[in-house]
Amino acid sequence: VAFVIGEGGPKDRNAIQLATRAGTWIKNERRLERAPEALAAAIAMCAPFGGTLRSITGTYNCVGMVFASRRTWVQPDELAPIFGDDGYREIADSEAMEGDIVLYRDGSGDPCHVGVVFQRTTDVSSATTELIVLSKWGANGEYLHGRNQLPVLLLGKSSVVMSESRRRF
Amino acid sequence: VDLQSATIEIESAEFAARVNLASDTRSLVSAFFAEPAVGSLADRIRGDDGPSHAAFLSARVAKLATQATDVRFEHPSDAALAAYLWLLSLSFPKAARVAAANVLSLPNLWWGKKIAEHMFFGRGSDAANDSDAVAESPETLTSDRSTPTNQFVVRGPEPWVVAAGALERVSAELVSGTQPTVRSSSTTTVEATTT
Repeated sequence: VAFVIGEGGPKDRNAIQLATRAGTWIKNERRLERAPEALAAAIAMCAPFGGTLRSITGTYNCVGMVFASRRTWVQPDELAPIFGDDGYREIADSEAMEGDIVLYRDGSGDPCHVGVVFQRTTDVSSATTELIVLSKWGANGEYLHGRNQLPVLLLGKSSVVMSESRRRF
Repeated sequence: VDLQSATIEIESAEFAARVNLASDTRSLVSAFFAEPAVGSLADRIRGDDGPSHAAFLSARVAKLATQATDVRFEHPSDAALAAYLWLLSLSFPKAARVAAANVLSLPNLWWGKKIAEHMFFGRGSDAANDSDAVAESPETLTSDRSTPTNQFVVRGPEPWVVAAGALERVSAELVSGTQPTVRSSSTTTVEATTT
């Protein structure tokens, strides 16, 4: 039996060095790749949701895609310090721009998923903003999808747009 | 869902694909709740015939854990092992910990390992991340602090039931906030290694 204490921390050789702007360590773990047949099953399972598959690997998740350059797996509970230390704030949908972050929350209000705004379109007649989001679906594929075009587990109960943009001073 | 159908479903690649939408153990368990096959087994294991179903699941864990796998990839039964461990933990925590100790020796598990760790160290293995607390037990631990990447690893030979007992004590003490007092024995040692 081998049991590692402090997984994902600075002493874990399976973690990569990853920190917020303020230097707070972001716990992470590199995950093994999944077998080809497992990835094929993942593609088949996700197909009905209609997203466009960009890439598939099991080695990183949504947070790892957005905040760790697709290099490692970061649990969603690490998002709070990341947003805090990196100067993110919630913005209105109408202010969203490509590169901003969509944060999905579960019924408890905890982060359950995150993605990057890939495209924003505004319907002037209905005064609504539509977002196309790029996100990683757990250990399954990385998809381009509509904001709410997600499996329930990732969609959660609500979503907000977060931005660190400094267009204003 | 009958027992055989439930296990076939849980051990399928399709099941793994669905529950692998999860990013942490909490969402993994949410995914389990959404699976009829898991729900069926949960009902069975909580029922009058629970012990026999627990024995069956323990045997499945043992069988899957000894399955030859390609270690370049994640264990093909990772999700199933996690589900079985979680199911066992519902009503048979000791059997679950024994099964968990069994899977912890596998090199290519993800969710199975996370659930197993949860059983020994509690919520999200937060307590397990308090490595300093463990490091402050010199009588029970040896460490090579000259190596910056050293990690504390509980090692034991094959009698993993003994190791599981040691881990239970560490878990209880960490959760209660007292100093861990695991002692080395002829069958189980706690040591620091570089991994």
